[in-house]
Amino acid sequence: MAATCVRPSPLTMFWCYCFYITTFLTLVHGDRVMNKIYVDIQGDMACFKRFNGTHEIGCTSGFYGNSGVIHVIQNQSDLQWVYDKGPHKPYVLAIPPQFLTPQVLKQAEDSGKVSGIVVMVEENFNPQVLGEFSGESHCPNSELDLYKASFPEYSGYCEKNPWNPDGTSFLFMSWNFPVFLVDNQTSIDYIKQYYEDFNKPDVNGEPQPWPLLCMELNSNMFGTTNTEVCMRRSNLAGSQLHHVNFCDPLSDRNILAALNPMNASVELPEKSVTVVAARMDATSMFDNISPGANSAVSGLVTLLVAADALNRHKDAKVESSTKNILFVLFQGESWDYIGSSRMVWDMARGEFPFKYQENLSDQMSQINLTHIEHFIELNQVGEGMRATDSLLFLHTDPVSNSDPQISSETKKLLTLLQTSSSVANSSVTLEEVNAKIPLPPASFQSFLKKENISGTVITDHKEGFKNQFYQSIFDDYKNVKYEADGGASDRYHKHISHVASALATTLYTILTDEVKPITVNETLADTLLYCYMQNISCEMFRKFGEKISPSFFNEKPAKMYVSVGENNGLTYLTEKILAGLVGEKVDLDSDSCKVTSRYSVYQLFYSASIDNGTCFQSTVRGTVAQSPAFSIEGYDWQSGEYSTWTESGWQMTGLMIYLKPSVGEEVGLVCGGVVSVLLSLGVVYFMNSRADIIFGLPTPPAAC
Amino acid sequence: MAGFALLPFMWAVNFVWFLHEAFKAPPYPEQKQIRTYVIVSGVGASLWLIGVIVWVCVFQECRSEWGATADYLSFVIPKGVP
Repeated sequence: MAATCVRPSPLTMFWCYCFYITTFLTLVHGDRVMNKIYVDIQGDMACFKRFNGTHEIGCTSGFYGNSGVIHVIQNQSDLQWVYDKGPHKPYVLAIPPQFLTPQVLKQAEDSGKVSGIVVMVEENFNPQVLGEFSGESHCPNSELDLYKASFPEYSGYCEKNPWNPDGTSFLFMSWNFPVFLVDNQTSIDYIKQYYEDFNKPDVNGEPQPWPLLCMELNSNMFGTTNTEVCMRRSNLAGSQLHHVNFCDPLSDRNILAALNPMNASVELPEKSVTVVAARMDATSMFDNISPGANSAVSGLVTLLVAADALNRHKDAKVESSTKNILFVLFQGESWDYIGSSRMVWDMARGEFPFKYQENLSDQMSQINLTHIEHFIELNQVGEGMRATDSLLFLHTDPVSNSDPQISSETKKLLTLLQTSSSVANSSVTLEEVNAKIPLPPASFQSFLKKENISGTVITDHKEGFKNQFYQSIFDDYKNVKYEADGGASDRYHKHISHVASALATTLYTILTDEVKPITVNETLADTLLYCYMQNISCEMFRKFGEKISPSFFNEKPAKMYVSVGENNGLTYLTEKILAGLVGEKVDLDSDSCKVTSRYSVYQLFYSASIDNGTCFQSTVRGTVAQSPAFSIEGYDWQSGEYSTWTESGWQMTGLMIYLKPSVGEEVGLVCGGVVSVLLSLGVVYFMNSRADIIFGLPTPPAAC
Repeated sequence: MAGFALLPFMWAVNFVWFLHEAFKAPPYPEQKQIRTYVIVSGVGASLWLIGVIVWVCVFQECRSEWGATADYLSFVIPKGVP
C-alpha cells in the first residue's frame, strides 16, 4: 500500500511546535527534588565563632551541617525525656529563651545526644520571666581593665561588687554544636506544628515511630583555635591562589566632630579640648541581632541630641572661645575597648586623627592626650528614669584624682554638671558616686591608662548595672521602656532629652564661662530613638542613607555589633546624621559637593533626598577603629595589652526542616533503585539482542 | 626532567615497563643486567612510597601540634579544623 505523504508547510510546522511547547510548559512544573524534601526556615541568626589571643568562643556546625530529630522543649521534663529516654539520637533541641543558659547547654553537650539547638523567641515573649541573661561576664572588659595590673587596691573591686551582676559569661563560652536564634513567627509555627504532628511523645511518654521531623543546621566556621593561629592562616591563604577568610579583626570606624573647626595652622592650646564620648556598639551571641538599647543607643542618641542643641546655640562667644568640644563615638568598645584604645594609641604616637601632612595648608589639627581638658563619657544612661524625674550617677577615677590638680578640675566639672542640670531645668539629678570606687567599664579607662585627665562617666547605675540584659538580645526598646507609639506621652525620649540638655548647658559654660540654659530638640531625640531601636527604615535614616544598599533597610532595630571591615552601613549612617546635625548647609550642587581630601578641616556630604538636594559642610570624620594589636609588628598576642578579638569567616548559615523515614525505608528505597536499574539494563540487553524477532525487522542488507 | 623530583616515580614506571622483559622474555645475554635494574627500581619505588605514606600520616596527625611550621608547610589549609 502506498502511503500518501503530504509534506506540511514550514509555517504549519512552526505552529505545531509552538503548540507542543506551550502544552509541555503548562503541564510540566519543574522543581528541584531538594525543594520537595526540605523547607527552609529563618536561619540568619546563627551563633558564630570569635577568637582572642588565647581562646575561641561561640559555636560551629560540621562542614556538611548538623542534623537531628527536633524536640521542642517546654519544661525541664522534656529535656529529661531526651536525655533519659529519647531513642532517636542525635536530637536538635528547640528551646524557649528561658532555657538558653550555660547549664542547659552544658548538660546538652555532656549528654552526647544533642547535635544542635534552636532558640525560639515568639512575638509575644516577655523577657521579664528570664533570670540572669546578660551574655557578658560579671566584670566586662576586665582583661583590659585600667586597674587590673597596676592598682591592686582597686583591681579586686569588681569581683566583690560586680558591675554586671546579671552576667553569665555566656558570650565567652565555646560549644561543639550549632546554636541558632529564630524569631520569625511563621518559622516557629512550622516547627511547633510539625512537631505536634509527628514527633511529640504520646501521653505515656512513648516515642513516636518514624517518619520524624528533623532539622539540618548549617553554620560551619572556617577559623579555629585563637587569633594568632587564624590570622596567620588568613595571611597565608591571602598569599596563595585560593583565598579563605579564616578570620578578620573586629574593626570599624570611630566618628568624631569638633564643635569649632580645628585647623592645623592655628596652634591648639594644651588642655583646651573637652571630649564628649559615647560608644556606638553592643553585641550578642547571635549574628544579625544586637540591639544594645541601653548599652549603646542611650548614650549615642544623648550625644547626638546634645551636639545638635549646642550647634544651634553656637553664638559669637562660642566661636571665639579658646576652648573646643570634640564629640567622639567609639566603635568596638564591647570587645576590649577597640575604638578608644586605637584612638589613644594614635594620639600617643602623634598620628591622630592622621599623620601630619607636610605642605598641606588645609588640614585638621593634630590632637594628643595633653590637649584634652575634660573627658565626659555617656555610658549607659537609659534606665535612669524615675516616677517624675531622672537620676544619674557621676563616676570618677580614684587613681588620677589623687593628683590634687586633676582632682580640683574634676570637682569643678562635677559641680558644673550638677548646677547646669538645674539651670537647664532638666529634672535630672546627677549624684556623685563615692570617689574611692573605681570607674565602671568605660572608654575613659583607655585614656587614663596613658594620661591623667579630669573627667567623669555618666551612668544610670551607682553600683551594679541597672541593665538586666547587658550585651544580650533583649537589651531592646522594651528594656528601656520606650514607647514609640506613645508620641508626646512617651517618657523615655524626654528623659534622654533632659540628659542631653544638662550636658549641652554644661558644655556651653565650659566654652564661654557663661551660664545659659540650652534647650534640645525633643522630636529629634524621639526620631533617633525610634530609628535606632525599632526601625532603621525610618524616614530620617533613609534620607541620610540614600547611598546604602536597599537591603540594609529591613524594618528591624539597628544592629549595633561592630563586625568586621570598614563598610558598616550603620556607622556610615551615624556619621552622616552627625554631619547633618552639626554641619551647616552650603550652596553647592551634587557635582561640587565632594570631599577633595580626607585631611581637610571641613568634610562635605551631599544628600539628594534632603530638601531636594543638600550639601552639608561639617567637621565630622571617621578614624580607624581597629585594635593596635593588628598594626604592631610582632605583637605578642598573649600580652593582654590590646584587644585581639577576631571573627571567624563562614560561607552562609541556614536552617532546613524535613521528614526523615525509618532506616529500613531508606535502605529499601536505595536497594529498590539499584534493583530497578539492573532490571532495566537486563531488559534492554535482552530486547536489543532479539530486536529482529520482537520487532520483526528484516536483517539489514550486507554492505557492499 | 623526570630524574629530578619524580625520580622514584620514574623507578616505578621502569619497574612495570621492563617487568616482562626482565623475567618473562626468552633469555638473552643482557637480561641479567636488566633484571638487576628492574629489581633495584622496584625496591627504590616501594621505599619511596612507604616514606611518602608515613610522612602523610605523621603530618596529618601532628599538623595542629606543630603550629606555625605546619601552616607554612601546607599548601591548602583545611577550614574549620585546628
